[in-house]
Formats: sequence, C-alpha cells, structure tokens
Amino acid sequence: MSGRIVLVVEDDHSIVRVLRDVFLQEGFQVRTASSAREGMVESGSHRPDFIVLDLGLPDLDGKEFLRELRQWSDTPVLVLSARGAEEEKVLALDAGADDFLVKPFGVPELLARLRALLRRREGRGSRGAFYRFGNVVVDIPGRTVHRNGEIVRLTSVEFSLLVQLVRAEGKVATQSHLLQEVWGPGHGDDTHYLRIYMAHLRKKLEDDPARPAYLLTETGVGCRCLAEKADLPHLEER
Amino acid sequence: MPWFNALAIFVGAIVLSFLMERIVGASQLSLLFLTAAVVASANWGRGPGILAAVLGVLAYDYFFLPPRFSFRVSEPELVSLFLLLGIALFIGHLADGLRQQAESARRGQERAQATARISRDFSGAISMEQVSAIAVDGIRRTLALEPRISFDSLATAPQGYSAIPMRAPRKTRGVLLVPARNFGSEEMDFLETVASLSGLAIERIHFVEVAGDALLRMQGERMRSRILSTLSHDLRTPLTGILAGVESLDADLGGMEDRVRSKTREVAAEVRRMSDLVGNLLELSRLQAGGVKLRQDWNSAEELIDGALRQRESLLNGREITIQVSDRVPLVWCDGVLVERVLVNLLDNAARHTPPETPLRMWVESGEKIVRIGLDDRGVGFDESKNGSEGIGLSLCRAIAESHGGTLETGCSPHGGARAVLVLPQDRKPPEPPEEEASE
Repeated sequence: MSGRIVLVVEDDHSIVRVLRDVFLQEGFQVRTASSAREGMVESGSHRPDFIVLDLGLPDLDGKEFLRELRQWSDTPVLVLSARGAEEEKVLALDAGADDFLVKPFGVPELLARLRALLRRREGRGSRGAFYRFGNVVVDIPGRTVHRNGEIVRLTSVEFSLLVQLVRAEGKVATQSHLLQEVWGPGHGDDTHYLRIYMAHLRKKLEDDPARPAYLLTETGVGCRCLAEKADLPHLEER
Repeated sequence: MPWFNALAIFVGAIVLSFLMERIVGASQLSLLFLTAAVVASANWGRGPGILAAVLGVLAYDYFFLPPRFSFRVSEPELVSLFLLLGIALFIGHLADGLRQQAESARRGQERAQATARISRDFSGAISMEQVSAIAVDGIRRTLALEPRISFDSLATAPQGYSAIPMRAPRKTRGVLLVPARNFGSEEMDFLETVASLSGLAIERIHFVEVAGDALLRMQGERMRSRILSTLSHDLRTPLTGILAGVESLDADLGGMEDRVRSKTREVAAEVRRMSDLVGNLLELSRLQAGGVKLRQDWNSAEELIDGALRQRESLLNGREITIQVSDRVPLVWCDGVLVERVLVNLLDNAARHTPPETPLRMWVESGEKIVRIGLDDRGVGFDESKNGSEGIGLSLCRAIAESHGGTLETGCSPHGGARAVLVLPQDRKPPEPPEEEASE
C-alpha cells in the first residue's frame, strides 16, 4: 500500500499523532487537517486515496463536510463517531460516508476497515455481476444464488434485498435506504420487513443463522453483507 | 325631576300666553300649550307629557277661552278642547316613543363601546388578575353593577348573585357573578359577551403559559443533550488517543517478550472498559434526567443478541455460548440500540464474574404481551451482600428496562449460577409484510 495518501481530518492532536504513526508504519503518506475547511483544501490539493473523518469537528459539521466533498470526489471516507450516536452514523452514511468506526477504536480494527475500503475502491467502476461471501455465490444476471455449489431458492424480494446488500460490498446500507430500494418509496419506516427478510436470508444462507458470519445487522443503523466481487469462470463453464 | 320640569314648562306656557295674548288670537294660543305638552313628552317621558297636556288644556280653557277665568265652555268649544287634548296626547305618545328609541340606541352604543374597550384591554392582559379587573371595571362602568369573577368553572353562585359561565373554545374557564336582578335582553347580551371575552382572554393566557413552559423545557433538554454529547466527545477523545497509542506500542514491541506485551494488552483492555463505563454513565444520566425519547421500532431479538455478542467478541473470546430463541418469538417493539446495550452490559457482568471456561446461555421467551430476554451463567450467582451498589452497568440496564415500561429481574438460574432477565412489555403486534409468491 506504499505511496498511498491518507488524509486524517481530526481536531485532537494526540489522536492525529498516533494515527500518523500507525499509517506511516503501514507505508502510507499522511496528510492531516484539524478543521473541515483545512480538510477540504487538503483533499482538493493532495487527492488522498482515503480520508479518516472525525464527526465532531470545530468549524463544520462532519455531515456537511461529506456532502460538500461528495459533490466532486468519491474518495472513500471512514468516519469516527461516539458510541450511542447511531442517528449520527445514519446521517453520515446517507451523506456519503463509506463506513464508521466507534471511538475508542483499536488499531487492528482501523486497519482492517481501511484495507476493506481500499480493496472495494480497486474494483470500483463497473458494478460486479458476481459476488461471493463464505460459500455463497450470488449471480446477479442469472438471478441465482448458490450455496456450497447448490442452488438456493429465494423469493424475488429476498433476492433483491440480497443484491442490495452484496453490491455494497461490506459497506453498511442504512435501513431506510434498503427499505426504499427493495420495497419502494413510502416503506422507509417499515423496519419489520427488513427484520423478517434478513431472518429469511440468514436461515437460507448462513451456517448458523443465530450467529451470522456475513449477513450482519448494525442495530439502529442498518445491515451489511461481507461480500466481495468475484470472477467466476466455473459458473460460466457450467 | 321630570314632573317638576313638566310643571315648569306648563307655567312657562301660561306666562308666554299672557304675553302673546295681544299679538295673536286666543285660538292660536292653544298651539302654545300643545307645543309645551309635546316638549314635555319628548324630553321627560309619557307621564310628564300627559300631565302637561291635561293641565295645558285646562289652563287654556280657564284663562283664555271666553268666558275667561271660568271652566265653562260652549259645546263647539268643548269638542275642540277634546280634540286639542287628543292631539296633545297622541303627539306626546309619538314623541315619547322617539325619545325611548334614541335612549336605547344611546345605551346600545355605550355598551358596544364598552365591549370594544374591554376586548381591547383584554388583548393587552397578561395575567388572570388583569382579565378579572378589566371585566369587573367594564361592567361596573356600563351597568353600574358590582360583579365578581371566579376562575373556578364549577363555582356556584352565592345568595343574591346569578352566574354566567365564561365559555372559551376549549372549556369553560370560570364564572362571572353578577348581583341578581331582572336584566333586559340587551343587558344580558352584554354580560354574556363580556363573560365569553373573559373566557377567551383567560384561555389565551393559559396557552401562552403552556407554550412558554414547553419552550423552557425544550431549551433545557437541548442544553442537556448538548452538554452530554460534548462530554461524551471530550471524555472519549483522550481514551481514543491512549488506546491507539497503546496498540501501536504493542505493535512496536513485536519482538519483545510476552511479559511486556501482556501488560500493554491489559492497558488496552482497561481503556476499553473505561470507555464503556463512561458511555454507560452518560447514558444513565441521560435516562435519569427524564424526557428521553425512545427510538422504538421492530427489532429481532436474535439480531440484538448477535449484535451484543459481536460487540463483546474479544471479551468472550472462545467461551461456549448457547442461544435459544424459539421460532414463535415475534419481533420485539423496543429501542434496539438501548436494548442491545442492556445485553452488552449483562454479558460484561457475566463475563467478569464467572470463570472463562464456564458456558453462558442466552434465551428469549415470549409470553402474554411480554417478551423475556435472559442470560444464564454458571458462576456463583449475584452477590447479595453488595446490595444497593450493583454498579453503573446494571443500573443502566434497569433504567433502560424501566424506560420501556419493563423490568430487569436478577436471581438464580435453575442450572446454578446467576440469571438476569430483561422483561419488556409488548402491547402491539407486528404487521404482516405483504404476501409474496414463493418463486425464483
């Protein structure tokens, strides 16, 4: 990952210092900004590959920063927020954040999120046709789902929910986003649909539906599926 | 006084007649007495008018009709005298009617002005006392009455008073008490108007106060939540720095012996624990301050349990955990984030008070309008001797349960060890999602 630029937008100097050390050790170039204004200038002039954004900035709401940034940039953004501020997370995700991390976070956790976001960025451009998580393969054009090589029967609603989830590639999709995409506008508050259909998907696709490994729910925020884009020559061979 | 005036104008008519006797004939003098009678009627009412008419006809006969200074009259003269009397009485009657109409118009205008003045004064009133003073003063000046006002809408009128309710759109705001007498319909209208204007004014003041209170409360809540979120940010920021620092130190120590590295890991774990304590403390103070709005929606107990277990993955680290959720458990109507917090705290509690090799069991049962989410461990059970100081974690669990109208039960598990159960009331049923064909 050497040569990549990370921009840290955070007003607390001790956190900035530690993050700089961590990222330098990982071989990144590090730029820092202690306010949203400065962060905007930095992201314009240095074109970072990745932005770590604290939501509690002194000059501008982190959500405003995101909205402004998203008008001209699709750089992955990881937001740092306090536990219990689920509403804030939802707003940040809807404003264009790619993922969030709860303070205080561990360094391994931070690096894992960062790698996942960069990996997703690699494959960006075209939407994938095939996605894989665990031993499940989702074939979107073929509208089929394989688990351990066998076809799993899904209803059309189950399938479109799954497609929304895998296309986010591990990113959290907010509840209202999923509800509106799958069930249509006007269903943004019908959270019970999501609960019921997530349970269906887990039952059909997870080894232990009570302890899912891939189809995860972030309570109060949304759902994520730890899926990756896949090239699947063996499927075409069939 | 009117009677005296009638007499005076009658005497005046006699004097004037004697003075004019030379100029005009006796028959024209009768018009003078007629005029006197009309003037008396128009100004002082029917009685004085009749008096002036009768006396005038008699005086005319006595003083001016020949034979003079005698009441004797010839027959044709008698007819004209009666005609004169009839005309005097008739015109007097008409004039009196006009006078009464003018009088009532004047009183009506006075009352309208009084009503306008009272309602104008009400619009500036900012207290119940002011409303009361304005209404009492207005009625006193207009009807010369001494009314009283009671803000108790169920007050009964004392002896000698009649009660007029002060009705406002929302409810009756009190009663207007006026000394009982026979009120004319216009007076009654006036009193009722003043009463309902008072009711409106009181209701307006009431709602201004309600709105003011609500605004104060809102500002208080906003301030409190701002302070709490600032505190939360400020307290966590150094912890974040410490944790990241310790963990990067841990990475730097890669080649060092385990004895040193285990210490950095211990520090990291304690920082996380400190952060949880801070979080619990802030959440507890938010709940205890009251006025917290729960963000309730449909949650799956299974997902909440899984969420809590994922949050505590490193703490539970390989422990055997069984989850029992019967298929019949419906969705749970609750604030998912808070209930997950309860489960996390229960897990923390169990993990810290039981040996790491003992298993944990989480279960969900649904009963009549109730859902029970429980955690059983195989430790020594709750320490009853520490009663009253169960720690921030459990206090928060209780506060969250209570904010949902539920309870937290702690006791012994039938398998030995401790059992903690979150009991949540479930009054509503989740609506069914739309039917779907089972295809694809």
